[in-house]
Amino acid sequence: MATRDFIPLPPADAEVKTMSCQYCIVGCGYKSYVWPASGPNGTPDAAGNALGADYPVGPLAGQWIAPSMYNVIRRADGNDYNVALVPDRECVVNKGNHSPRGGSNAQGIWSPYGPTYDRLQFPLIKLAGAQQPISWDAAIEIMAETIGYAKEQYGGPAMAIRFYAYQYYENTYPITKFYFGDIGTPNGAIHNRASMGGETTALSDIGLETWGTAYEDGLEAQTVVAWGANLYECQDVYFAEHIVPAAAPMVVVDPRKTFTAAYAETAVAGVHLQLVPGTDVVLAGAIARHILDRGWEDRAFIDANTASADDIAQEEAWRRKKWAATFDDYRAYVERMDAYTLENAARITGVPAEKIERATELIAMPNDDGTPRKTLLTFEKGATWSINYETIGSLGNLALLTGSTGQPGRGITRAGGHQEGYAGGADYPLDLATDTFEGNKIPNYIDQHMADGEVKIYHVIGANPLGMTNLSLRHHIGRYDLNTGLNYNRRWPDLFAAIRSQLAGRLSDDERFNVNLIRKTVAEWIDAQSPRTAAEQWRLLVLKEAHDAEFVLDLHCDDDALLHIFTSPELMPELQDLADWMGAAATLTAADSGGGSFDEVLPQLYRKLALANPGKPVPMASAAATLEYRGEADTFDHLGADDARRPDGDRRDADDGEPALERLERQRRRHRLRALRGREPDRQPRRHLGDRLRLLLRQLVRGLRRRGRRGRQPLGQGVGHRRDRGLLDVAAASAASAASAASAAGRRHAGSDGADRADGDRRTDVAHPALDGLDRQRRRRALPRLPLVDRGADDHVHRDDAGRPLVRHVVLGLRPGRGRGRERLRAHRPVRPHGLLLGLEGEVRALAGARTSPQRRRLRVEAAAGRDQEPAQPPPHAPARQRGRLAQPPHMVRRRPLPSPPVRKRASAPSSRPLSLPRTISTSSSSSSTLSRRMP
Amino acid sequence: MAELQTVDRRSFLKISGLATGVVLSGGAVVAAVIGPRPLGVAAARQGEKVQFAFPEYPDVIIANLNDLVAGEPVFFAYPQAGQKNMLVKLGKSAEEGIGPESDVVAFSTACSHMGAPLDNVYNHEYGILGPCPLHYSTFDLSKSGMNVMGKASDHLPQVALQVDDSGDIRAVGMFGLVYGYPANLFARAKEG
Ligand code: SF4
Ligand code: FES
Repeated sequence: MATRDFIPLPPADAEVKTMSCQYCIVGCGYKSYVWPASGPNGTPDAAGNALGADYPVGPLAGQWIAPSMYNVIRRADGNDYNVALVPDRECVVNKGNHSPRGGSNAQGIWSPYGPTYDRLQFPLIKLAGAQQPISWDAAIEIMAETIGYAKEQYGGPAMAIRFYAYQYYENTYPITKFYFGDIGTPNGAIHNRASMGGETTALSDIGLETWGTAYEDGLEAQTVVAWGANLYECQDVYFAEHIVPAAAPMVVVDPRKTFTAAYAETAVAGVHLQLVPGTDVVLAGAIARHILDRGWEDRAFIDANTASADDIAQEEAWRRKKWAATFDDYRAYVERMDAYTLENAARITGVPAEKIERATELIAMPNDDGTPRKTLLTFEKGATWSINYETIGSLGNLALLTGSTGQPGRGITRAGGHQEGYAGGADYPLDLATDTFEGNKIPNYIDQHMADGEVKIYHVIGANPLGMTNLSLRHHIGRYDLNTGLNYNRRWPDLFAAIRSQLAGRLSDDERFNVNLIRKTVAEWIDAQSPRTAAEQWRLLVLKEAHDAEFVLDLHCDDDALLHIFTSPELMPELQDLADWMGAAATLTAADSGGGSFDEVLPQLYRKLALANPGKPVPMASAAATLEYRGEADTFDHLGADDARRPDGDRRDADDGEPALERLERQRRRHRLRALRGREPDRQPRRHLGDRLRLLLRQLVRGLRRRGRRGRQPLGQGVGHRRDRGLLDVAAASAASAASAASAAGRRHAGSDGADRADGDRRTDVAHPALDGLDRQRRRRALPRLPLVDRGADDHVHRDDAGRPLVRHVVLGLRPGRGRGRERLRAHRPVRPHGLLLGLEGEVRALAGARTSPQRRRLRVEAAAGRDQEPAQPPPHAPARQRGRLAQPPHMVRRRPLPSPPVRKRASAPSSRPLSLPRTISTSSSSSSTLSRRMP
Repeated sequence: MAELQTVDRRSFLKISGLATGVVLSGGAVVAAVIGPRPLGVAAARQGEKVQFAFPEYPDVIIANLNDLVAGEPVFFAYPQAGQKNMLVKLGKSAEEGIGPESDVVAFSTACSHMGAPLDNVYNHEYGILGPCPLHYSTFDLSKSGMNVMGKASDHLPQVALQVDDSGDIRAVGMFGLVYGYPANLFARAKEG
């Protein structure tokens, strides 16, 4: 940021507007001050500036203008104006607090003097091969003509639309009204989805709200759960102002040791469950089972609010009808699941059993007086972008088990990402949709309808389906770590240097023994590391997955390239099998290409060990290669389809009628094949890569049968010999032995530890013990259709032959529309100061105030019951129409002392005392409007 | 308000890049004008280093290089009373660091987020200041006070230092705005 050493102050008569932060869902309030750059500026005494501050101001004043909060804009009048966007100390959400994003709001607005100077000021049209500016009128006319023509000629579905669900209602309302209502196209989707599906479908199936809590619940909860959510860094002010002050213990579920995780473990009496990615469902299942074992479930809530068999019989919504279960069914199911015992879950998820137990206590152990513990469950992308339906469904089930909904301090909610402001002007026209799932209409997957030629016009509004969101400050981040700028695929550790001394003198004359010893030593070394950056930690996680694999394939695409592969010389010519199969134009080999890229880590280790131990047999026990799938621009569906149907790759399987990809998926689940996803600039449609990966793996697995016939080949002996003893067969051999062990034990996950882990596709495959015993037909039904693309959550559920989800987190249903619970559920919507409360009646009106004392809560509940208290002034962000009906917030709020900061490791530790800064804020005077979010 | 001198370091480097010829040939002083109002800095190249000059700031001796012990901070007020800073020998080279190892730096101890005092949270192992007792912001002292974690949207203000032959360390200027102030040289702003 700029290193200015002064900021002009807004004069007392500067234009002042109240706005909401443009960045995240927390919705902090800001004040914008605008005044002519030519001055006069304000003075540092309270009367002389618009903030009413007497400078210098002390800690927590909420009146300091940091350099990042200041900018210069030019208005239509041609004059320059100073702008200061300062966190609003009167806003109940942030009370003057801000995050690094919000503090930089002023840097994101248009300024002729800053990096935003080159924003578009006119519509552009591509004419004669170049972008030409045109007038708004012309642009609108062209759009209207083209859309009108397309609709007349081809009908509504000829239009596809991808649009944002953030920023202003004024935008989403007409967009949806126009396209879903007037034009009537089913080919529409929100910026981050493949179709108009929900992000938390399982929650709505259960009958819970996605945003089911108020901010005040954070201060009342006895335990706060952050599942796949990093509250400290991603919901900054919600965490700082509405969770930290109460110092409730936290349960943090995250494969990474985030700051939030460190906070849970060191600042409050919480616990960090550092699970293997993708095993969330098992973890939640183990917690549920432990709750049931201990009898800690909230029976009163469950009896009053969950569906009975009769309710389910009357259910009409197809997913609910299909998956809803009674509490008794659910209990029977959880108790049947072996994966959910503490020991098994610990093995599968990598979380020690004691920690699961401790987390369960924190989540569900009733208080001494028998009242249920107040638990606030928050979750975010780590859960939603995992195995969506099952994970969110199992969290929803935990909420129902513990009665965590609709009651003070108790609830389940997304933690949130960007701010959301969606107001539909028309519902999605599901009747026009042509996609179906088992005979049920589901929203159209728009990319497919484009590929099929149905779509003639693709209107993209505030979204970037090609570049997705991998840009930061106009650069592709890709594999470059945002904090350090370092390339994730370089500087992988030199394992030889790391473990050489541990191995000294321990290698034997037995090749197999040596390989096992080396792998074990590598694993020990990995476990002993304490990574200091997220990138380091991810490298270790990936290495841990890879270190004992026979095959390690790293899928890439280059800037601009033909299809090629990189590998180590020892692995040739066997890898030529793979290269030929892929149709690679070139195979590049290098013993050490420099820089330490991932595919060389393990080959280097074995090579160096072999050289250093001339008398001992050390084979090349890791066949690692980087597969470069052309260039970034080669994103054509026909290429993807070709890659997925290599001529000699599929023929045999096509005969037996099983769709190839389903079969591959089944095989992949069955054997120890795990796919890990990394992320380069996301220009490749996911389907493209996903198919390829599956098919490659399939190709590897195919060798299994051949290999099985021939018997096991010692590792490495195939190197340099006949093609049919090549690499693919070696892979198959190891897969075959794992598979036969598994089937010998009669269950899929009786094999090695690794087989129990969820695959990197983040679909939990551990919970399907019956799979192997079923015949093919039944298996086909068990894995009905592979979700190659995200399609909301609708077809993400793998089902057993009775049609129930395989990881059968039977979703408990709240009785629709019945009982206080459901009403109060609405009462615990979060406060979103940019106006989501508009149009909601009844008890919701009391909720614009984010923070209440028990006394105020009582007032509120009474108000909700129709016994309104005396009219009072609303908190600053209440919509105007709600004013006068709110319970009165206290004028003074004294902060509680904060817990001491978590510290991971400190050499010279000066003790850091928790600060207890008394702070006085007034929430009584404001005239802000919830909808004035526009930038000046 | 009096016109204060400041510079954006990156912008300065850009400009100094353009003006390299001038600087190298004569050790001349580069004056830059950036943005809608004059932001000035004087700088000259001394050997390998660009030397910034802050004409408005006081020039104060704050410690002697020979008295400094790595990891033991020394506190001082600068540029004016009430603006507390910390001088420390990091033990590893740092941006704008002085001394033979370029590892002596000084920073404001008012958190650039909401002003909590950072006097007690220096961590010598990592060369960081933090986590802040209020909202846990953490600043990397070897990277010009960059906020490496937490809430602040600005770097921690850094004191520009110079050292002379006797080992005396002088504070001569400031990069960045000290928390709570509209201007580092506040009295001047008040006069204005
Ligand atoms: S927490 Fe979110 S809403 Fe609040 S200042 Fe930060 S980005 Fe803005
Ligand atoms: S005051 Fe230091 S992090 Fe907020």
